[in-house]
Amino acid sequence: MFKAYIAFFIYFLFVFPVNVFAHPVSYKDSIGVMTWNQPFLSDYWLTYSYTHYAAVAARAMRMEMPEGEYLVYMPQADFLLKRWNNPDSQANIYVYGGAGGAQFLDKKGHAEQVGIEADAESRTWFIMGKWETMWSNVADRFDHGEFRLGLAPYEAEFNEIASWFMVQYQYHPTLKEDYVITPLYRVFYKSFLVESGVSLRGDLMMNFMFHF
Amino acid sequence: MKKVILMFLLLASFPAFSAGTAIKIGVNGMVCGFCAQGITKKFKAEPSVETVDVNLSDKLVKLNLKENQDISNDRIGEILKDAGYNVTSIERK
Repeated sequence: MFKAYIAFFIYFLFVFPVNVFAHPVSYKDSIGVMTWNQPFLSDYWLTYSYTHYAAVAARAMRMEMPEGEYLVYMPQADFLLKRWNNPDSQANIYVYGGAGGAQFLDKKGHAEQVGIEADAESRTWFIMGKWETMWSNVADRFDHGEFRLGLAPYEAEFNEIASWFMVQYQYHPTLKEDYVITPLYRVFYKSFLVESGVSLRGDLMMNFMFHF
Repeated sequence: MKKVILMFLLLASFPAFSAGTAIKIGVNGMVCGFCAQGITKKFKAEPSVETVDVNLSDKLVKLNLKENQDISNDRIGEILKDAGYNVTSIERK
């Protein structure tokens, strides 16, 4: 089932024109793709924003638990609770939640999750924090906290390549690695974003956000 | 009659009569080019809009309209709201 879900996800990527963003909700009628890839955690989002404050998403996750691989796939609803548009900065609070299928070792069941995310950014600094909790009848509760700080070495204009240096802290006590600190480099040009880093424990991280 | 034709040709060749309206829109919250891509996409989809230029430093979206075309302030506000931003000013030339 998980493989079929991923196959549909890839098919969707190549068939539909999509636009990409780094937030759970983007502009009205946009379709976004976000992927996070680490050895102990993969997270794929395909999101359609039907207003500037609400979106529906298909999400697939792979988590490396001490006992083995834990897979989750679910539809998800994302909401922008509050946005502050200031002259030189923007801040947002998002919430999201979903329910779907789960697979852990040989067991198949269901999973439900909720999350909250807050960020604030200017053209030279960025701060973000999020917390997610997932319940399932086949695995232990999965908690995931993430915190990011970023600095841009220059103020990129709209159609210029933008660069960011960031530090990410992840906390997930039920995974093989309960906390991970990753310095990373983010670069984006127009609607294509890639970021990469290596954690202090040596785990490679490669994240993509893009559009066709 | 010759004078009328001459006047018509003179007016038609004058740039101010052949170019479309230019609009400068002040926008709050426009700090990330990656996130603001929706602004250009939405305005380019408007039949009246010829070109869109986003300037993050000046916090401006500049529109050049097609000849004899117009777009209302309400529509501009609606597009930027759908893109997730707030309009602070609209200036037409």
